Amino acid sequence: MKIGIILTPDARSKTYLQKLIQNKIHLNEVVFMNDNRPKPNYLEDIIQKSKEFGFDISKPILKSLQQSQIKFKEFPFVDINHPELISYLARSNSEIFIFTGGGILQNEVLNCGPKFVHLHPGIVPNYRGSTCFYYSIINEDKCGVTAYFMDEKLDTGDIIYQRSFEKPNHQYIDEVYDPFIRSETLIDVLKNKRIESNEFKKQDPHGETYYIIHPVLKHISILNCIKE
Amino acid sequence: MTTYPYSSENLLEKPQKYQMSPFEGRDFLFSYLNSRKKTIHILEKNKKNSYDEILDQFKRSSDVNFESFSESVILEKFLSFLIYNILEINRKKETNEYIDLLLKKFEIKKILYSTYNSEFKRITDDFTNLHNYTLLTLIFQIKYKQTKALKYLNVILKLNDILCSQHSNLNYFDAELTYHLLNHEIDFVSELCHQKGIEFL
Repeated sequence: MKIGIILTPDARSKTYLQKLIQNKIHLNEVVFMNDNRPKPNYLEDIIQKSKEFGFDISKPILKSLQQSQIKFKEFPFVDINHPELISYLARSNSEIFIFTGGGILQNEVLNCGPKFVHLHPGIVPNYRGSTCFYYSIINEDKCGVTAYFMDEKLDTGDIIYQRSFEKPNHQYIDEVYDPFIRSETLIDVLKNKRIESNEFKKQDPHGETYYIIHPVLKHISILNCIKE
Repeated sequence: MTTYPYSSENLLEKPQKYQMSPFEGRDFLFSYLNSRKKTIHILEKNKKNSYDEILDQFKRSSDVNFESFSESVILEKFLSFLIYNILEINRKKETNEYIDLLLKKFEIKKILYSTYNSEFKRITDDFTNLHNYTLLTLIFQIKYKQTKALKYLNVILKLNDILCSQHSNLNYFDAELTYHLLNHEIDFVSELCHQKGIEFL
């Protein structure tokens, strides 16, 4: 099966790419949506923590691609619903694209040819929506990732694979823990050919959708991780 | 000293997005508590009725049904009706669906319009009726007490940020209710911290 990946200039894409390279997983195609946004200045603590978890958050995507001599198609915008991208994807011979970003895909891109796989940091249907790993850590002292086929709604597509993770013992959840658990699940999915297996599970339409966590709850979640 | 910045601006004019909020350690929870206590202190002079006495007013208040809102939804009237319903033992089955619809509406826009059509699309530009914000917070607090579902505590914190940012514009009734809403919110946060073994009060 021909599988490609659509990268965006953020920590998640950096992590996915670095983990793919480390695991010598070669994809059919790499698309990089790059709006040349300013490079974030990560604290040294965060960079060190990312290295402990097997990636370097400070390493730009272009550098990883060039060092590994990976061919890629670059677009000067970050918008999965952009007509120029849709036109490109429609002509692609990849059957599946891993999409590192989030949000809702409009019908034009969903129906352009390939299917799209997303890695969501929550065990659906109980944890759909935004920042739900923080809620999961408060409720269950753990978190999970769901690999699923994207459809027209938010986090409702057919499930490819789900994996649970213990809560982290550090505070860098957005920067390190989130990309770490998603990238570990991605490698698991690809190495074990879980997309090719064709054993997908329909989601229960009921469930819970979460919205961006309030800072007070976010602090309770993180303090719950780092308490002695 | 960490400050609590999430209720200091006019959140109706400039809604708070809460995206990628920084982690500032345990001190942040103390700054949140201090900020809420300051507003509670200001509103305390309005307190005449207890929380239960205010709830009793809603139990006596309604003789409408959901069909009454089939053409348009005046939010203030609808919220009072929802409160009446969730306080009733034989509540109507649609009540929870409407409460979660309003949660979604608020979480996306961070404001509440005064009037919606029957499909809950707004039919006015007015979002300044603070009574709607206090009533909806009360609904979510009743739901949180019943379910302990974090989605309700999350939206309570955001609605109370707005009420704190607007405290000088609250009328007498809403100021009194907000006094109780803020105290209850602190109790919820304190209880959750206690459950998770996190120092708070």
